[in-house]
Amino acid sequence: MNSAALIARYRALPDRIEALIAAGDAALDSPAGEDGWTARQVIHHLADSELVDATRLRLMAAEDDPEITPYDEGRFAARLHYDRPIEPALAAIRAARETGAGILERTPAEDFERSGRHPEHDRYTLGIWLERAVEHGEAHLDQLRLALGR
Amino acid sequence: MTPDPAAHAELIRRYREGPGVIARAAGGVDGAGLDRAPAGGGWTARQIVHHVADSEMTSAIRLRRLIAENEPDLGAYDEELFAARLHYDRPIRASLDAIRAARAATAEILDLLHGDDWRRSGRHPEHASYTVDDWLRVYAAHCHEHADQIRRAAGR
Repeated sequence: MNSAALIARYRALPDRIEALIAAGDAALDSPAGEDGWTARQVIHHLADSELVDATRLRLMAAEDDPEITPYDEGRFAARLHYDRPIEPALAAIRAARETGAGILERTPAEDFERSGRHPEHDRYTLGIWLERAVEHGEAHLDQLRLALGR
Repeated sequence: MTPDPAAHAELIRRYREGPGVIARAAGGVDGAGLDRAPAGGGWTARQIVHHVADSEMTSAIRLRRLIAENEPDLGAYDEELFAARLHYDRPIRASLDAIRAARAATAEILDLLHGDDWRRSGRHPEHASYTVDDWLRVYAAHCHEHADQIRRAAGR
């Protein structure tokens, strides 16, 4: 795994999201795709998942084989008012990734093998966490592009 | 405890004020002051800023779990291990932004809470019972307390 290339992709997501969105964007609330999520909901999901990911990165980098607690993204979407303004969510995505990249860039190669106990994965390491974070972000970027019709 | 809207509004105001209080405390410290070892031991001003950033992102998720899930396990982390292993010698700018962003996004959720939401609870390793109300009382003061600690660490 080339962690430098993955870290660059990890860091690039906030710019790529913000390049898609215009101020006062009317398309933010148009449901699109099979799941029917709007762009606004996707952005709030990303902000919350990035904050969760920030805590997982820190736990695995700092502690030895910590327990990773799953969260219920459906309940988050249903109960955390995903109709809110998006600007604080965009700032949270950027801040989570910027601080996370600062840690990852200083992480020695062997530390990407540091592990955590994740109930949904037999093997979960910092390296796997990074690959999944990059893929998760980019998949939702594609979803945003579809939802916004761009 | 009976929810008290006026008390919650004041605590939310303090919560929103926190990032500015930390940024002003850190902004008043020069480069050498950020890394000055406090006379009595403990964290430097730079380490305190990174601690607050990591803690505020964690607390943002705890609040979301308390609201969205039923009796969630809020987990624990070792803040001394975080300080020792998460490169707390980094520049502080991104961490100040993270404190601001985590609180701005979370405050918008707090504004929308009502009545029984404040009594929703979770399992916290360091508290026998931990409700949304408890959470807000802890974090409304968290940035202000650490801003004082930053000024002491930097010898100001």
